[in-house]
Amino acid sequence: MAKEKDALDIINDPANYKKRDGVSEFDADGLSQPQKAGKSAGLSRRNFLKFGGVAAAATTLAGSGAAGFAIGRSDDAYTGYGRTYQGGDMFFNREPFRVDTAVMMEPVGKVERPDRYDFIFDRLFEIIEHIKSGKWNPGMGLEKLPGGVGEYYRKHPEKYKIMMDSLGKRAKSREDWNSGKAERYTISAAYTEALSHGGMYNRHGATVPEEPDDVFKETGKPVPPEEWDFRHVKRKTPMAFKSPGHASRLIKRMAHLFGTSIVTIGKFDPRFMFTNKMRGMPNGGADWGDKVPEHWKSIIVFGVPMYWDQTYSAIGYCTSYDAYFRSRITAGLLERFINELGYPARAQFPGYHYEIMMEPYMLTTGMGEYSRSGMVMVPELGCNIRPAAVVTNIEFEYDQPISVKMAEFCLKCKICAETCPSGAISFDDEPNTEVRGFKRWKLDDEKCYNQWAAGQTVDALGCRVCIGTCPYSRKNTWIHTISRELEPRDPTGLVSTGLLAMQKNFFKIPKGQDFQSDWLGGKEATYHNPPWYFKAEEVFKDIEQTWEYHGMN
Amino acid sequence: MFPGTTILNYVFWMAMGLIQALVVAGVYEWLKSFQKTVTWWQMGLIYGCFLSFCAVVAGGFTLVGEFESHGGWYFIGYLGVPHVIAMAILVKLFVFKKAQA
Repeated sequence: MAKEKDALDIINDPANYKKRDGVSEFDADGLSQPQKAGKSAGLSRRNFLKFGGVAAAATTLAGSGAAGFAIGRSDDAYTGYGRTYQGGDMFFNREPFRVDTAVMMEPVGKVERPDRYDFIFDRLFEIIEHIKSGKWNPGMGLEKLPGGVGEYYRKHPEKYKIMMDSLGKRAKSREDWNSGKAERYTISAAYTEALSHGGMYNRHGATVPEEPDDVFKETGKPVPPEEWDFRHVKRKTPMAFKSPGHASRLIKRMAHLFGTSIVTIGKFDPRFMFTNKMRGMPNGGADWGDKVPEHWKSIIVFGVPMYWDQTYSAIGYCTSYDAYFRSRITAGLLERFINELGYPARAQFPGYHYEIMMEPYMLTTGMGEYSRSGMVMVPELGCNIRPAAVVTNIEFEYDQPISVKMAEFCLKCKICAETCPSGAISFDDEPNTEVRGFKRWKLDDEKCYNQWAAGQTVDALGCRVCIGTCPYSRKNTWIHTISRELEPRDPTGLVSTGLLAMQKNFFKIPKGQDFQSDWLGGKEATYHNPPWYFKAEEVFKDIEQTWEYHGMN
Repeated sequence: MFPGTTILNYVFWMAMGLIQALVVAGVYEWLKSFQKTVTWWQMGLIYGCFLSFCAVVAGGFTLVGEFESHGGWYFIGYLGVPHVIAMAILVKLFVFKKAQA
């Protein structure tokens, strides 16, 4: 067959052409007379195919590179910002991975509810309150530290030492900002403050969502959830849904319309509700006990990512407030929307406005899996998700948990632990620590906050290095999508091993110590260099660059 | 690929598809000029390897585009070189093969 002539060969064979007046249409070189007359020898069909083919192959190669670059640099890669309001940003299909019990959510001991003092910011705020009121100061020592926070730290004196160190670092950080030492971070500080105090903590009552603690502080009148959660309900009877499925579909769509990227719905599980914590009640609900409001039956969990370029340039150029702000907006709007339908609703939202721990609900509703760093990873965004929730009594069709092998990846990855500037993330091979009845890699919250206090942020809040360096925290481009889709379907584990090898060897990630502030011996390194619009020296006079950038471009 | 346009992306990918015909036709012409022949499946393997190499280049540059330049160049280096070697082996096996006795 290979030696048989094909149609083109037959057409092009000079022997098959009739002579005209004794002259061959083609000469020995295979060129026709008209071609010779026109001196267009280089444009013969054969040469066109030969050299055009080479050019086409080169163009294909160059086009692949150019297209790849454009895809990587494109705004479309910045997933999770609601380019559509149809939920299209949820590009990972969870249905093949549904399971009955979420990974690491099978109790291994007696399940205990978290107490308010398990939440580091309740401890921190109480200490600051004691210092402000003059009741106590660090010079008086742990023994005289009053209240519940004193009891907590007397049980955990090693944590107390770290907290005192953190307060010292926080004071030093404040000094640096006040003296202008941190002016290279001017733009990220302005960005943070705009979102934080322009958007989230406006001191004149214009906050979203409405906060029962603010009302209690203003009026002195307790606002229990049985009152607060119904405050905008005008209907005598709530609108009846055709089915729980209809309720789920509508509320998820509305959550997307209100700006969220990912949303899941589950049954409210009181095991993950704080004891002694209830906003709107005296002392933040310190005497609330373990009561669970009867109308807290379902929970809608949703989240958005922090902006990617800032996240990759943590610590100094990053803030949580951009995602906090957006998730709060969704929470406030969704809370009101549900009230308008005649149902009670209570927003649980960042920074500290919760009666619940968010992570277990993210796990039980199938949003993601628990990670080594103590955060929940979701398939679309990795650890880069900032959740909020609304609790209500609508009867929904609940989402089941998922198992997509993300936690399995954590067993062998450990990149977050290697890059953690404060050593707060466990290096244990397996999640061996029992935390309130569940096996976990336990994040050392006190050490984590110690880094926050010493970081290069305007408010001494946040580090986020573990979020940026997590291999799952990657943008929405085809190359990461292939990884996300292949890895959970591979029964051999070879895909994850290969991906991890690439992650560890191809990518340049600074060491944990390098992320620290210069006054602690660090380089103030970043994983990626900050985007141009966060480089103060590029847009302002009088800021001379006296530092080096250590991240990737 | 072309921000701000609604049509050029499609034109680009259609053009990329069209020139693939030229790539394959060109290879056949070169083979003919060297008086070599390959079967369709051999050509398929060689072309598949070329496309896979293009995907590696695209992947590497996607990472570069994401400001992961270090990872992107390593990606092309570590995955691209094996592709070049594989293509050379395929060409040796299918094109410059020893004449059958």
